[in-house]
Formats: sequence, structure tokens, C-alpha cells
Amino acid sequence: MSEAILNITNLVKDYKTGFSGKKTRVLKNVTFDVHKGEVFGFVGPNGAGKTTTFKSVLGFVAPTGGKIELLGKEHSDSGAKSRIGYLPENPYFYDYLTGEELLYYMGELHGLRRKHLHEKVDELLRKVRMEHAKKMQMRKYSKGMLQRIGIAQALINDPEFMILDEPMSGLDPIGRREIKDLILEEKRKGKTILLSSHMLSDVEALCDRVGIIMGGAVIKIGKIGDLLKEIHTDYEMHLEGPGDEVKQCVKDLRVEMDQRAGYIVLKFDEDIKRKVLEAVTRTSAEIVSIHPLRKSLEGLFVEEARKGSSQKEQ
Amino acid sequence: MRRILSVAHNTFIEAIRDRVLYSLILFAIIMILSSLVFASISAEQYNKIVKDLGLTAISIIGILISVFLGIGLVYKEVERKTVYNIFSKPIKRYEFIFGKYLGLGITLFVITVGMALILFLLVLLIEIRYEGLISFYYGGHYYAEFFNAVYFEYLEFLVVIGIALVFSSFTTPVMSALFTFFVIAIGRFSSDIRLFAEEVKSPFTALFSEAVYRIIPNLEKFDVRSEAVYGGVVNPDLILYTTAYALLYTLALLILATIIFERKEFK
Repeated sequence: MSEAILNITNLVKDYKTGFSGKKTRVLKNVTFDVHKGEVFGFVGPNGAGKTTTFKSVLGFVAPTGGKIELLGKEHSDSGAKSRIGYLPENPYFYDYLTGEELLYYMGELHGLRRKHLHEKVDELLRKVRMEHAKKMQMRKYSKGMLQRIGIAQALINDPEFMILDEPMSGLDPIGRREIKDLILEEKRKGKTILLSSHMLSDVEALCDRVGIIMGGAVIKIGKIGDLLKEIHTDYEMHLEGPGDEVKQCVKDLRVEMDQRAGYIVLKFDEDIKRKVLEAVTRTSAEIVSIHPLRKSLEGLFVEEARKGSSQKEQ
Repeated sequence: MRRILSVAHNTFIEAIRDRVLYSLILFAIIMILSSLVFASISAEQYNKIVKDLGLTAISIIGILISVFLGIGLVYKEVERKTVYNIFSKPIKRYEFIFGKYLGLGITLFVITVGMALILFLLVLLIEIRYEGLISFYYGGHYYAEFFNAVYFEYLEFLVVIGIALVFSSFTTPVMSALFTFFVIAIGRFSSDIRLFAEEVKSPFTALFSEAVYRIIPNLEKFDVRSEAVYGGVVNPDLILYTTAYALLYTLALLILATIIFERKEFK
């Protein structure tokens, strides 16, 4: 296994809420690692604990328990911070600073001298296509521009490891495409990236591995391909013929039946594929097509969310 | 140190581009100029009134700017989540606190110098108008005292920024403003509190008043306006002592703000 850039073991975080000081556990033994050179996607519904995990890694909040190792060091070590780049969720910068000033500022916080930053700042502004707005105060920036300048500031120190919290949120399709391309470019350069996203299709396209977090606990980790193998595949069969007859025939099987565009559409699980086929061949209906539905991360995600909520009900 | 200066530099840029600041400065200039109207009632006292009202205007506006920008120094960064960008970089929390303070301190320095120069020019023009250029060669105009009074006012702003910063590191701007003005009000009546502590019969009240007197900064030390207006000796020891008092008190405030801020979680 390749070297771990981030190693989180049994991370626990409790927040005190309200005046009573009652503790709410928002992270429950979160354990995962991010390997050198990979893009790791951290997905989960709102409030699942993605951002809290990132905040713990960066030392914004103090973990209640567990261990975080960042680049082989204790995560609060400022030496580790000089080797990472971070884009917060919905990044907000300073109203009255220009994009260019922000990049100089962030570079200086990395201990870089202003005179050494000129080239880097110009290069980054070009890269995120913000040259035209470099002298504009950031209060006039659109959401997409803020996101792009946010990526630029995360790259100012040429980091080995990037943590991007919802880098695609709130962007239009073109903006998403641009950010995706930027991430892929960094990946090609060998950078390690940890990103969280609601856009599961984007995660699927960008990430080598994913971790699914729900209710503060990581419930699945693995390569996308491996995870998708685990989920049941649905099949869809299109038939032409008498609907009532088909309905009667499959009534004892777990089949969803629908009629659209002149076809009878049956949707069923892989396990009962043979039984359904046998049943429909007994009718006078004609099979037009049968095909597996595309497996997606979204399918896996929804399945896990359903499992989670049914476990809660029990 | 470079990180502190970098935070200070950007705090300064943010502050001088803030429109709130310009409205306050405009208000200050109007106040200084309006002293001309009051002064016109008495030709003899013309300059004294202009100086007195002008210095008071600088003090009021400086304190207002110190409080209103000071209470947002840290709070705004936490609330608007700009701290996430800052603290994902290798910067220590104390560097941030000291940098923010220094940035506003420099802003106040520029504003104070600007306001003082406007007032000084006004005073000079009045003198030339009434007494002619010859008046420069004679004493009795207390220029040194004038600038000393401005300097002391600036020292007071430095302490007030520190107080606002401490409150800003743990509570909302409205509460910070209230607390800061409360401390300023007590600080300006410091000697009365001391007197009260000595006179009062109840030992508990006496102890409490004495504690308040010891803890709250004595802002009366920074008011030497009457020397500037009516004449008085600028004692170098007093300047040194008052400077040391302001700087040490401010340092204590910054350390306190850092201790509070170190424990803060950015949720």
C-alpha cells in the first residue's frame, strides 16, 4: 500500500449545544486514510460530518478523541500546514481586498516573500482564469469567481495535499467543468486530494476511492468500482402486449410495473431475473428489450441511506 | 513577525477601504470645522476654542473608530469564516491577534495624524489671520503641547482598540460595543472611583471599587487637552510614563485576547 498522507483513527467529536451544555456526538469513530497520489471523495448528506472531519484535520476544532496524522506529523503541527492547500465550503474572503491582494496575503501567511510571489500569483490567476478580475474587490465577485480564487489561494504554496470542501457546490455546469478540470490537472501532477461533494456524479468522475459518511460514522470505504459491485443491479425489461396478462403473471414476484410510450416496463432485481423471464414467456407479450440499469454511486448512496434509516426505525 | 505584519497590512487595507470609516472621518472634519462657528462668538478666545473643540472632536471620533472597527476585528473573521482560510496556513493564533491589532493601530495612526494636521492648519490660519506671521516667533502658542495632546489621545485609542479586541474575541459586536463603552466610561472616571473607594463605609463596596480602579484602565491619564489649550509644561517623564502605561496595558489586553482566542473553536 502506498504511503498515507492523511491517517484518521477513531476520530470522535462532541459539540455542546444550547445553554444546558448537552453534548451531541457529531463524529463517531471516524477512521480512514488518504493515500499519496489519490483523489479521495468524502460523500454524505448534509450534516453527516464531512466538514467537521475537515475542521478537525485542520485544527479549527479540537477532537474529543482519536488520532489524526497529517503528512506523517501530528495534525496541529504548523510544518504540516505549510504543505497543504485548503478550500473551505462556500469560501468567503475579504470584501475590500482584490483577488490579487488575497493571493499575496495567503502566500505571505505561508512565509513566502512578496517579491518571490509575483510569478506564482500571475501563474495562478491565469490558471483559474481570473486575470481579468485581479484588481477587482472581492465583494463584486460572483460565486464562481470566489470558488476559482479560492482554488488559487489553496494552490499558492504548491501543496502536496489538497483538502477541498464542496468545490463544485453552487456552480453552473460550466463552472463545475472548470473546477473539475483544475482538480484533474492537479491529480495528474501527482497531488493528493481529499474532496467532499454532494455531486455524486462528479465524485464518481474524479475520485479513485470514496468514503461514505452518514450520521457521523463512516459506513463504507473503497474503490468506486468495488463498492458498485456490492450493490444489487436492477434490470429493466420492455414488453409489448396485454398489460393485464403480464401483471397477473408477475404478481407474486417483486417487480415494479409501469406502462410508458406504449410499452410495458418491468423493473426488478438481478436475483429474480430468471423467474421474471420465465413468467413473461408464458404470456402472449413480446420481449422488446432487457438491460441492466447503470450502477452509480448515487444508487449506492441511496441504498446506504435507506439501510441507515431502516436500522434506525428498528 | 512577517506573518504579523502581513495580517496588519491587510487589516489596514481592509479598514481604509471601508465606507464606514469615511463617514466617521467626514463627521470628524465637520466637527473640527464647526468649532469655527462656536469660536466666532469670542475673538479673543478664538484659537483656544478651536483647539479645545478640535481636540475633543479628534478624541471622540478616534474612540468611535477604535470601538466600531475594533469590535469587528476578530468577530467578523470568525463569523464570515475567513478564519478558515487564515488558519489553514501555518500561522499561530497569537500572530493573528497581534497582526489584527497592529493593522487597526496603524489605521488609527494615519487617521489621527490626518485629523490633527487639519486642526493644526486651522489653528495656524487663525493665528496668522489675527496676529500675523510674527506670532510664530513668540511663545504662548503651545504647539508642542498641542501635538502631545494628540499623541496622548492616540495612546488612548490604542488601549481602546485592545479592549474592543478582547471582547471581540468571545462575544458579538453589539455586546462588545456595550462592554467597551462601559469600560471607557469607567476608565474616564477613574479618579472618582478611587475617591469613592476611599470614602465609602462598606468594606465590600470599598474593595470592589478598589478592584475596579485597579483593573479598568485609567483613561484620565490620556487627557492633557487643557495643557494644550491653556498652556502647561510637557513633562518628558509624563510622556514616557503614559506611553509605557498604554503599551503595557495594551500588551496585557493582547495576551488576554490571545488566551481567549486560543481556546476558540471555529465551528
